[in-house]
Amino acid sequence: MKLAGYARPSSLAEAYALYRDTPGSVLLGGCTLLNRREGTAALGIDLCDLGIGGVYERDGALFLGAMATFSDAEHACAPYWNGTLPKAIPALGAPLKNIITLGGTVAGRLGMSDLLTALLALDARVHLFAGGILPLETYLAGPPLRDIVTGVSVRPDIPKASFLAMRNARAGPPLLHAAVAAGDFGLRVAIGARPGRARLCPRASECAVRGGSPREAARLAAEETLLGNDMHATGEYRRMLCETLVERALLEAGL
Amino acid sequence: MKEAERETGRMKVSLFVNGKARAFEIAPGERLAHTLRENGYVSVKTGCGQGACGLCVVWADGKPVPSCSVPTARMEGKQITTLEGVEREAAEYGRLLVGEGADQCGYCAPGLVMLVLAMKRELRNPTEEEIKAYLNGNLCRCSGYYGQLRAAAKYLRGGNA
Repeated sequence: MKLAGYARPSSLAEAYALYRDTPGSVLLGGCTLLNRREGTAALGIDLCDLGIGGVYERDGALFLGAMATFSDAEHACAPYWNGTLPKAIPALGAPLKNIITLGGTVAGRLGMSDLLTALLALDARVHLFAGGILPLETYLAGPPLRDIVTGVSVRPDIPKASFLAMRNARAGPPLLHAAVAAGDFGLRVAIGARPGRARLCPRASECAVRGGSPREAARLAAEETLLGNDMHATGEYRRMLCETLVERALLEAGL
Repeated sequence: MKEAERETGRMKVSLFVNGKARAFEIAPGERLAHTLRENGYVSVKTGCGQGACGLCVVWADGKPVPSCSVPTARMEGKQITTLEGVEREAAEYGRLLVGEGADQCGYCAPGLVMLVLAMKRELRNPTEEEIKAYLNGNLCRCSGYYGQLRAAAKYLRGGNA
C-alpha cells in the first residue's frame, strides 16, 4: 500500500482526530502488513511518538503497550503466566520481531495470530482510546472500529497457562493453536488458526472446571469449535489436531 | 508533512547513515530500503518486499530491522547502519563464510551479515538454537544454511572453530 500523506502526531487525541476525520487514512504501527495491502491510503498516521510502547505493571495488571514490539513482549513477559506469551511469539527472526507491534496484531485480528489465541485464554483486555476497555473476545467478535488500540492488559497472577501450536515447519504458518489458562476468572480454553479468528470454547472450559478429564474437555473443544479448510489443512484434520492440542495444553498447564 | 510538502507530494527527512548526517527527499510512504538503495547504499536490496526474506536488513539505532517494511519518515533522526558502514567486521565474517563454502551466489549475504553482526552485539554465547532463532527469516536459496550456521558460530566464538 502506498501513502499519499504522512502524519506523525505527538498525542493520542491528535492521532485519533486525524484518524476519525480523514477518510481513507490508516494507522501505522509495525507496518509489516502495509506492504501486503493494495491501493493508496490518503494518510498514514504514525503512532511511534505517542508513548504507547513498553510493557509494565499498572493498576494491578501487566500492561502491554500497543507499540511494544514482539521482541519487547518476548523478554518482558517471560516471567509471567508460566512463560506462555513468549511461546506464542512465532519464530520470525530478530528483524521482524523488532518491528511487529502488539497493537497492530490485536487490531489486525488475524486468524493465524498465535498471540491472539494466547491472550484470549489469558482473559486479556483491549484498551481503546475512545472506546474504553473491552474484553478481547468482545473486540474480536465485533465489527472493525475506527479507534486506536493503546494496549492490552492481562492480570499478572495467572498461575496455570499453556500455549501449543501445530506447524508443518517451525517458521511456517500455524495449522491450529490451543491455549488454556486458569485463574480468578475461571478456566478458559481458546482455539486459533481455525483458520478464522481465535475463539473461546465455553463447553470445554466448563467440563474441565467440573473435573472432567482433559481428553473429554478436548473432545468437547473440537466439537464446539468451527474448524474450516484452507490451503494448509482440512477442517477434519484440524478437528483431530484440536483434540490432541487441547488435551496436551490442559495437561501441560496442570489442569 | 508540512504545507509545502503536501503540495509537492514529497517530504524531507534527515537521518544518520553509517554515522554521517544525510537529508533525503522522499515520497510520504517510501520505505527505508528504497530510500537507501536509491541514494547509493546498494548493499540494501529488496527481495520479498514484506519483511519475510531478510535480504534488506539494516540496523536502526543498532537493532536489525527489515528496511523494506519500515517507513523512511519514521526513521527521522535515527542512526541507520548498512553493510557499507561495517565493512571491516563484514569482511571478517565473509572470510569465515567463504571458508565454509557458504558464500555461493551471495545475493542474501548483506542481510545475513548484518544479522550475524547484530547478534554478536546482542547475545552472549548463544546456543545453536538461539542462533537459528535469531537468523530465522534470512532466506538463502543456495547454501542449505549449514555452512552459514557454522560460519556464524565460528564468528561468534571469535573466529575459532
